[in-house]
Amino acid sequence: MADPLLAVEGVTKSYGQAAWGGGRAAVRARPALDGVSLALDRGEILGIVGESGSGKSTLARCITLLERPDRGRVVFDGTDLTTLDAGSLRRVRRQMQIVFQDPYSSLNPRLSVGDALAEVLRVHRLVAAAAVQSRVAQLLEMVGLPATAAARYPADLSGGQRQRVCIARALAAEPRLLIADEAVSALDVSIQAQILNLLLDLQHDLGLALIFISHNLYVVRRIARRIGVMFAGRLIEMLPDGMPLEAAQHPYTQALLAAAPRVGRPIGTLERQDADLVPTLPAVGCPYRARCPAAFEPCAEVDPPLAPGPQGHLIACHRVMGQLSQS
Amino acid sequence: MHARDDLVVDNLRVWFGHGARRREVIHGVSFELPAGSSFGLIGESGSGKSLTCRSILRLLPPGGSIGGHIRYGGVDLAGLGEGAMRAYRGSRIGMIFQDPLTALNPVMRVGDAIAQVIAEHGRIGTRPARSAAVEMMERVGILDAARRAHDYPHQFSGGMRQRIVIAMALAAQPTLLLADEPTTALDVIIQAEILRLIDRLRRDRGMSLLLVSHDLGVVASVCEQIGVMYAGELVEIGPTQQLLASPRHPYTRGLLESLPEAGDQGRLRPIPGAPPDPAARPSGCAFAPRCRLATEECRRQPIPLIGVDEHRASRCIHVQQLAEAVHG
Amino acid sequence: MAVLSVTRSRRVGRGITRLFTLPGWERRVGLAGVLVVALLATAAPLLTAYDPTVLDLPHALQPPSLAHPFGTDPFGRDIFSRVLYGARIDLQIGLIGVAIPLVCGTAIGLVSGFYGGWIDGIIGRIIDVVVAFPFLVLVIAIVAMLGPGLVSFYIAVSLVSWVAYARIIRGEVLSARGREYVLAARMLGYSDARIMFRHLLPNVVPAVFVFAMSDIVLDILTGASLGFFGLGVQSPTPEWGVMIAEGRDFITTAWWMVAFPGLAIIVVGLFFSLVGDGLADVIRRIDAR
Repeated sequence: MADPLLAVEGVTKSYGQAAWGGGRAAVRARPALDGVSLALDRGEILGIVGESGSGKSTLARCITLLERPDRGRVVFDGTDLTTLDAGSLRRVRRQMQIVFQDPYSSLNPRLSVGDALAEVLRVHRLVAAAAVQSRVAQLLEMVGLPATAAARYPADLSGGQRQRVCIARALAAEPRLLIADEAVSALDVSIQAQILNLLLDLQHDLGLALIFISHNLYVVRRIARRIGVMFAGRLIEMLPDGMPLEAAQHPYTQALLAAAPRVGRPIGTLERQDADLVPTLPAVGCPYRARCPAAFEPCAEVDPPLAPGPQGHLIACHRVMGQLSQS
Repeated sequence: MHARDDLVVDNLRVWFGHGARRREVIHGVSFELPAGSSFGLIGESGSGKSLTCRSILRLLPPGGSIGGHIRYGGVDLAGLGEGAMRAYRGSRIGMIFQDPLTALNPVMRVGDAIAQVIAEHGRIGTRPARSAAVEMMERVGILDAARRAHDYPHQFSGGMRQRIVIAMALAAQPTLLLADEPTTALDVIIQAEILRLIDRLRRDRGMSLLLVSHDLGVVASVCEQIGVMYAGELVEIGPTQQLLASPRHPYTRGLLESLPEAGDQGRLRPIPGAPPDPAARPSGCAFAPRCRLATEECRRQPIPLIGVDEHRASRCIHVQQLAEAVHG
Repeated sequence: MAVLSVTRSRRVGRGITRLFTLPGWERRVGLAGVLVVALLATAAPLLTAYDPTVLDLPHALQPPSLAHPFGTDPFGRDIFSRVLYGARIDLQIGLIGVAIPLVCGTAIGLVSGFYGGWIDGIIGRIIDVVVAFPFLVLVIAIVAMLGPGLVSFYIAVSLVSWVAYARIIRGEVLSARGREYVLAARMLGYSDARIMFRHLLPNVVPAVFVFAMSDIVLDILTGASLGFFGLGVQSPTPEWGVMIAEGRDFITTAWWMVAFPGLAIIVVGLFFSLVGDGLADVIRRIDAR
């Protein structure tokens, strides 16, 4: 069994803010990422689903060390990134690229497409100086853009085209891991489908490992076989390859599924949630308990750990684990 | 025969600039929204759905001009002067926008903001307006409303701010509510609650609703009728369930097929190409460059809306072919 | 760093052509005006026969005439030629007095905004201290210590003006630092220097160019003020501020001594302001896309 390409172990990150008015008795805000662990094999696609505040973007930034985790390790290809100095980190970084959500701020407005791609090749000396132009053309072709796009500036391109350029730029670095952080969320529906296909094709052709982050459950399901669900900075369920979404057991995952607008679902079957009427996340115990229909005593006392549940997959829920001990 | 509060949009056109530099971006949109019912306008960016919605209240960007008729309660809104239009905005016709943060005055307490709307349109004093505002906040589901009326917008979460925006929109008892991407900025679960809220309030008051969204699922869950817009035109219109079950326009069909939920794992079925600039009209069907069924005839001249039956219409000459494709 | 020459000159060329071709009369009039003034200043020897420093007492205090379009001063010197030669000094004051703080302030602001932490803390405190003093007071104080003259003026202005640029750049860098294209640059393993100068700098610098235009005007006025107080350029070198100071006692009797240099300051200031306005417009239009 080969070592995973990426192993995230117990990563925690807080964005510190002193409690208003100070004092130790003040409620501690929950960390943005709370002890998240996951592993990814070479060439595997992992999906991460979460709403805003779930920590999914923080996870992407901590994996790539764009933000330094407060605790935990990020082991990429055998090396713990958290121990690297700035120079070594810069060298390793090339192998993991991110495609961001906003196609409009993801590209330097003053660089032409060709210049942006050529820069990657030149800085890392990936091809001989004479071969740069042809490699740029090749990269553009890989993402479905004409070679003439090299002379254009981001302002001349549509959202979908810009996103393709971002993908080309990421590929120029010849990464082994690609992280798509809400990469299609800002695009029109018909363009979304094109870019999703592009990502799937590239992943398949180049053997890339892909972490696909989105708030849209259906999009993630389409792309990924393994899906991690995040809530309040924690992984609360990990759906394995082959497990349908509908079989998810965590109450939050089920709530997401029930709420996701779906063509074909008639009016009036949207479930009652009262999600935003709950003021803040409780500081102790399961963060979801304030909204959870299945909450009971243990939920208020102890954070449920992510552990194998009755269906054999990882889940963080006392109620579900309670079933396990009963059986 | 039109009942008093039916909304009838008749050949609505919107353009920018004049003379040689005139760019028409909405090309003759027509639809009816019977009083008390709900209509969803869907489309991608550049389709003109937002602009169409805003045109009803004449909230056009600078340089925009309007043509055609927008009949509401027997009056043609398109022909009204600015002063008369103001009497409609916020009172007879309410509007909710996408971003609740910018829709609310950050230095005004929310209770005051709502009370102001009530006082102005109901012509009642401050005291009764304030208690009516608290009542309104309760109606949209804000707990502890009497206390929270003293809070400022930044003290609320995104979903709650949108509820406040809804409260403001409904405070003057409008008979028609326009909602332009009201849940796009919200998380999925909150979105579901807001949609449920809008739907419930609409039914309780017998209010008409025009909902604009790029999300087919959102529109499908709340609206009785759907209009699909593409490149500044309505390309298909009909009752929600029928339209989604058997679309009669290639674009609608393409959209439905390209949705992630339209299949299992693996590659999706996108529509090739990209949406066009609504001001740059080709001579024939605007969708022809991306359409599998396109023929010479499609490109020759503009296609009119063809009635499919009493409630459905499609801007495609191959409408029969599409019907057979579903049933065949 | 890789060879940038071809792409950079293309980019600069694109920027400059845009300066002239995009619509907006302010910028074109302003630029044209500045160029005309610069031309006149350079061509001064061709445009006037009079040496601006040579005394000609028999012709002292003559009102404007065909021989002396701007009249003469108490020493008989032709004011028209003094204004023309003075333009050289004042334009120099404006441009050099801005160029040095612009370059230094931009570099400091870049580093400060990019790295944050204690570097930013120290620089921030220095900025706070400098900014606490009124600009003119500080400049006068420094010039007084160093002794009057053009060099002292440049030193003083540079020491004081850079903070404004540093602040602007720092603010822009702070907001640009979180933008995804900067994150992408970090992900692509680019060095800090490359990110700061190749990626951030081109995007934040337009903000200071607009400010720089108004700063040019301010510098000219400051130079003029110093000249007025006798701390600036020393006689007999012509400089508009000095000329106005000399005309102070003759306002009622020989109004032309004050009027024409004053007008020159106003006109040049106006032209630079127009360029600044036009630049602001161009930047706004580019960023809005």
